[in-house]
Amino acid sequence: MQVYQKTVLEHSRKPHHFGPLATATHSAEGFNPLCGDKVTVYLNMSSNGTISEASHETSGCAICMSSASMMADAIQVLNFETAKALCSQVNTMLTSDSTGNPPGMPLQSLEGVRAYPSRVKCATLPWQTLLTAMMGETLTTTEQEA
Amino acid sequence: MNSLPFNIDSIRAEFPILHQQVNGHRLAFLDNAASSQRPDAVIDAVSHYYRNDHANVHRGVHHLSHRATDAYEGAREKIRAFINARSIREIVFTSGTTESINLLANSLGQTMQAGDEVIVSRMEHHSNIVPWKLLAERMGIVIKVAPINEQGELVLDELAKLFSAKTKLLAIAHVSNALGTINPVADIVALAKQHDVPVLLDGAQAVPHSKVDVQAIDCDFYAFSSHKMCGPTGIGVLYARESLLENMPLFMGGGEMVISVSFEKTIYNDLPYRFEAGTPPIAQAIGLGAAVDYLEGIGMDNIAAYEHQLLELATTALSDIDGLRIIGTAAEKAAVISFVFDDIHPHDLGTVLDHQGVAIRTGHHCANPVMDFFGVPGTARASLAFYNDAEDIEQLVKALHVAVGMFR
Repeated sequence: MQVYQKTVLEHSRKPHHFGPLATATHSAEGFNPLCGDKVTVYLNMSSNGTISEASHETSGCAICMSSASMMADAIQVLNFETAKALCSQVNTMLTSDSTGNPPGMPLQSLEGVRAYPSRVKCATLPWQTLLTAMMGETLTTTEQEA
Repeated sequence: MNSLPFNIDSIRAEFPILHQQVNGHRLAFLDNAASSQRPDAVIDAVSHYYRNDHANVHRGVHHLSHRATDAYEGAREKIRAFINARSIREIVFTSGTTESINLLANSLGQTMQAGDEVIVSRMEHHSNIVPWKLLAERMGIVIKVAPINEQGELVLDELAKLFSAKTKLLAIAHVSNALGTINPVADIVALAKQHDVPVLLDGAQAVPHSKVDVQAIDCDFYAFSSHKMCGPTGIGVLYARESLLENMPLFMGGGEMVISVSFEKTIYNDLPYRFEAGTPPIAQAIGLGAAVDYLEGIGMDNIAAYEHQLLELATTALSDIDGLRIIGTAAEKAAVISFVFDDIHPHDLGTVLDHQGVAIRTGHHCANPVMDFFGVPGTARASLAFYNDAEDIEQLVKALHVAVGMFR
């Protein structure tokens, strides 16, 4: 199955950067009330918007878990604008028909999720939660726009 | 399987939707508790009505209106006989179980006061929780919740302790949609009668699968949906004991529910019409009548016996899968199997199974309090109908092995 690629399954079995971050300056919780998935994103972000460290705590399906794990890998040391652009690239990959500017591997291994409309929110929830944390907010759900 | 009460191949041949490929596989439709499929007899009845008989009911002097009215009221009589109500005056058409319960909550709610109590159980569908929560928020009624045990059975001793002088209603599922538990409804009604408390049964998951006799159960209200019993969507029934319905405050106003209207005085219609404002779901009622004829043609006892065999077959087969845990192991169960794996999320299971043509439901099944009780975010649920067969179960088991191989 296109959606459960080896990389996706590996990240879901052993998620990277998992657990709370003691030095976090920003954190947000994201919920999918329809399925009960929950993602908490922790960021150590300076006043100029540079993320120096990030982690997540995720309770959810393999798609949500692997998306959060790959996201945490991708945003360790990243400035605000680049992180925001990456969120947008992933969102386009998962929800838009246009090919856009793909986010590169391993994030592109999530592309197969697009074929499963009922599962797209599983993959976007971590990213929506990341944006929420970056904006200084603390809570988001898949039933609202970030 | 032991000797079957009917020819399953003939039955399956009557359901056109079953004969298709999904994702390159034979369709195994095991999501019947969410909504059932329809046989040709129902599809044809609805089609025939629209092609030949449609007009508005109860108001025209022209021929088609008479024909539509006869068919519509004929369906009501079929449903009366199906659940053994005393009179068609006790059969109120609604849009479904949810509206039936909301009708009751809004009507009875007008007779309640702050502090009055409604008893529900922990295993209720959201549709038998939220209408009462709305009453609690609007006017301060109190909801008391009867607990369940680890098998997913109602704890009757604890239920018995919840009755008080302020209890106005017991509202409880006949069969749990998330667990499959069949509640001992006649005993529960007898218990409530000792306290002079009327009983509403949510029969959405019971009526499609076994013979329901509202007089034998002796309940006061019984709600169910057409779409879970091979009938059209958009129609359901509230059975209400006539002596209670006669005095219940009205819910929705409009045409149909009145005899005459002026700005000085409104005369309301007779039962059950005064609870059916507006043009009713005519084609849906006729389709539901056809579904009742179809189910009775097979025989509800035959359906119950066959589904019980399927349940045992499926339970045994699923229990052999490493790491699979069945949620809901009541002694009396309908053909619903909720299950979880500790290391595979239900939604991942659902997607992998769908890929192999197996349709199951995953998630909380509109029963969050049940999921919280068992400490799971959701379950995978295979729910069976009389048109399922052993091959469906084999396909489910095979697909589950694929999923286990993928995620471990």
